[in-house]
Amino acid sequence: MDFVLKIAGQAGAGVMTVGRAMVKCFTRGGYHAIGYPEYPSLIRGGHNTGQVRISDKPINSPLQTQNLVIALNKDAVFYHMDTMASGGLIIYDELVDIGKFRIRDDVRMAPLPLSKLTQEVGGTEQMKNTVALGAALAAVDYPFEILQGILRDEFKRKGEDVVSKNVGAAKAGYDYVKGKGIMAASIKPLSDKRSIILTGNEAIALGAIQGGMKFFAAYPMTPASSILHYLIENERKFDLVVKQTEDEIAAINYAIGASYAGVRSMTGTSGGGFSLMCEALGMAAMSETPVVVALVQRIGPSTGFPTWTEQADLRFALHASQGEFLRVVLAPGDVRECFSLTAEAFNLAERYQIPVLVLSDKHLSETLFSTEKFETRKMRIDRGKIAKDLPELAPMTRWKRYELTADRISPRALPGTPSGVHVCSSYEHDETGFSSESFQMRAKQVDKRAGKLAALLEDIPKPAVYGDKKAEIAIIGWGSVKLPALDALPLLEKMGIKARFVHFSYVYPLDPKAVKSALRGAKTTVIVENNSTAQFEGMLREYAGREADFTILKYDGRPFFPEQIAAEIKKLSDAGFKGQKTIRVVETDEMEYYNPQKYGL
Amino acid sequence: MADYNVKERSQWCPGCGNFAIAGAIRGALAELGIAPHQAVISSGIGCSGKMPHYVNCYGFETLHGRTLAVASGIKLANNRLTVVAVGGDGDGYGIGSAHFIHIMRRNYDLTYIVHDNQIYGLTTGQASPTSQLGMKTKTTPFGVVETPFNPIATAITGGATFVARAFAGDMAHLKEMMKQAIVHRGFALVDVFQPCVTFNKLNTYEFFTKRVYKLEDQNPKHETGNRTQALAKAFESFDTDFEKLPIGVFYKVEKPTYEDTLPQIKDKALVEHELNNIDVSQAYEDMM
Repeated sequence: MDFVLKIAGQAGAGVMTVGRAMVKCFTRGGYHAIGYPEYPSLIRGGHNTGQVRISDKPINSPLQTQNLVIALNKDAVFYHMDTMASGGLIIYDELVDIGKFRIRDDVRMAPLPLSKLTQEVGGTEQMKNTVALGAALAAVDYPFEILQGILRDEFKRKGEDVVSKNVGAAKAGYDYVKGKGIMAASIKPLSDKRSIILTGNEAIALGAIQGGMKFFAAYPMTPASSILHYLIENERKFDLVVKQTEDEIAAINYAIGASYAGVRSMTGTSGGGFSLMCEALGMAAMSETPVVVALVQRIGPSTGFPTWTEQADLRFALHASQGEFLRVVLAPGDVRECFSLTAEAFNLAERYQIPVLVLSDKHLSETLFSTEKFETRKMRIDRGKIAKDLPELAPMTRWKRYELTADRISPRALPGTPSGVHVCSSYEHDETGFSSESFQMRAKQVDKRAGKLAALLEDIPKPAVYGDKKAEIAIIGWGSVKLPALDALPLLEKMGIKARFVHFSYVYPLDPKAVKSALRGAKTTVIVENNSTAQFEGMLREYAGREADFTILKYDGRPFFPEQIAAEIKKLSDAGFKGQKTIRVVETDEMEYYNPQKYGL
Repeated sequence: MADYNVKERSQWCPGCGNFAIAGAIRGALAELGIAPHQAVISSGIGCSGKMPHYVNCYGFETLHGRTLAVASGIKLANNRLTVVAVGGDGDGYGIGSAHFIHIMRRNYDLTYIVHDNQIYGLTTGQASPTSQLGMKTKTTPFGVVETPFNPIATAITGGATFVARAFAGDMAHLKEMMKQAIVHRGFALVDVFQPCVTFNKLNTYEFFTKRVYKLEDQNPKHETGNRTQALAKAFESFDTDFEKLPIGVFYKVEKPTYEDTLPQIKDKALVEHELNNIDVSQAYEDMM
């Protein structure tokens, strides 16, 4: 069973809330569910969608087509009628005149008296989406009781009156659809197994909490803001201090200050904010102060497409700030990796006293996934070398914070530690942190900081290989490309193409030996990236001496869908893996969410 | 008494006002009985940025303009520490002005000492936000035309709970201002007239000695709790074409600090929180 349901309407109509409630509903019934939101950078006036994919088997990505659309307005019918699966159903507000639309014969249409039903139960305009939610669940024959429970949980803080009004509204939509016998599918609960649902950003936030992060500072920026929201909401539950600062420059400098004082600290932003953080990133490196930065990519350059996805900040993350310094770039591929890698980021940052970047993107960070509860018993917090019980210092001298040790890592003395006084500095310095322009000391301190790389490489897990691990075709991806790529594998298999998927979540530093072993036996390598210049392919050439045969690139704002990856590889396969190295994928769907007026609806 | 001295000779120009400021910081911290390992000095970049090198406690020489942001992070992470941020007029009122404006609204319990020499020293003599009207500098060959920034008035209106000014030529008074600022619970600004003997030929020791007077010597006494009076005094230098320069405490008021609003650091500083018993599963209820 694999079913895709979409609710769509005007920005501000509560589409996102309904999407989340639906993911919850199906997850409570034992299904795997994914809630994929699409929205323009507008609060009102644009078009919003919440796509929910439901399956009885594990799934990773949203799909291109839908089986059921709940259209809250006229635009919603027009926008999605062409991407309906054959036999699909559109339930639309009866006030919408669909006469002019050229709807395919294999798409069924069912009107719903949305406004009337809402008025009948005494609901406000905003409650229309709750009526629609009830209608959607009835159309897939799902039990109402589960939805009722969710509405109860959702609104109980607002009082019994709000709860009963919303339950009434949902029931009105549900009963109407049932009464009319409108059916798209029959989806019955499988079990009462309790999985959790969360977005990539929530998983990053939760991973940070589990990883011992106690301080977070940030400035709001889409699509990173929900990390800040989640952490602030849970600040007291987990004893954190979370600060919204005046800008991103302040945010990272706060985090570095807090980390210097001994607290695991982090900031989160998107590309524009990260641009402002670059100088301080270098200070963290020079002063060997650990810091974790979540960089949630959106479309660039500049303001770009604020609410759409891209993986184009990889090289930026790798090279941000002046001078040369070691850093780690982690790129989680799913919510479980968002959780585990963010927690691990703090261990790496403190063990090596370096900046660690967690590179996510809009697609992974804002999409909602059901997943099993995280296994935390085996997770460890390693704070690295922190000096305690120091011998008394001679008068007027400082502790050697930057001592040239054999393993290149010198213990940190946290403020408050007796006899640990020293200068922590953005300047080049001697072993006590005192500014020094000695040529020899400069070279030694550079080597000390850079020399941590050898140990770091030992610490970095090998890339993961999925699918047919010995297949001659190797699809390579990093970060969120894992989502569509994993779902492309079974599609390829059906087409008779055996492939492995090699996924890099530790994108930098890269170990050439690990790359070699993951690609052993691969005759054709295809890199899939959500950017226009194949940045990771360049990294593989640079750091592992490996050139890919093909690159499949997409940079139009949407993530890859599994169908698109499978189709492109099928074409390559049919052509005997000959032809142009670079393949560019652009959506054929011409519907623009930002500006529905232009379609003259 | 605690010893904040260092072996190294300070690398400032002979006669620089920074010597007095460094001495006053060392003296104030020592006389207040604060152990050097419990004190942190953050600095920005500029001549004042060298301060952590010459006061032997924990020190962080940050980036240009970022001393307050780093100091804020330090304070929130460990509110048991005494945190003193230093910086210059370019650092705090120019490139770092956003942090200055917003830190006052927050009222963290920390002290901010501005080495206000009305010039960019370390970059060899360009105009700063506080350079006097008409002053010729490398970047204002025809004289400054921009109205100088008024840090005292900005601080009073911006929410600072302790606003003072001192003069590097009067070390005893300077040290006293610092002691009061450090003891004050909340954000305390001490703007220090600090002659730059190399690049500022206008605002010299002689210039200040002739013009400064102490607010505490006023008759009737200056009321530090009176905002209107404090503001009038903050504009006096401007209103008199920099002929009368009051120093001392302009404004002082008691308000809860930002840290007071955080129950999570009431009993234990953030840095003292145990990390080995964290369990995120209590978050799952909202995710199911």
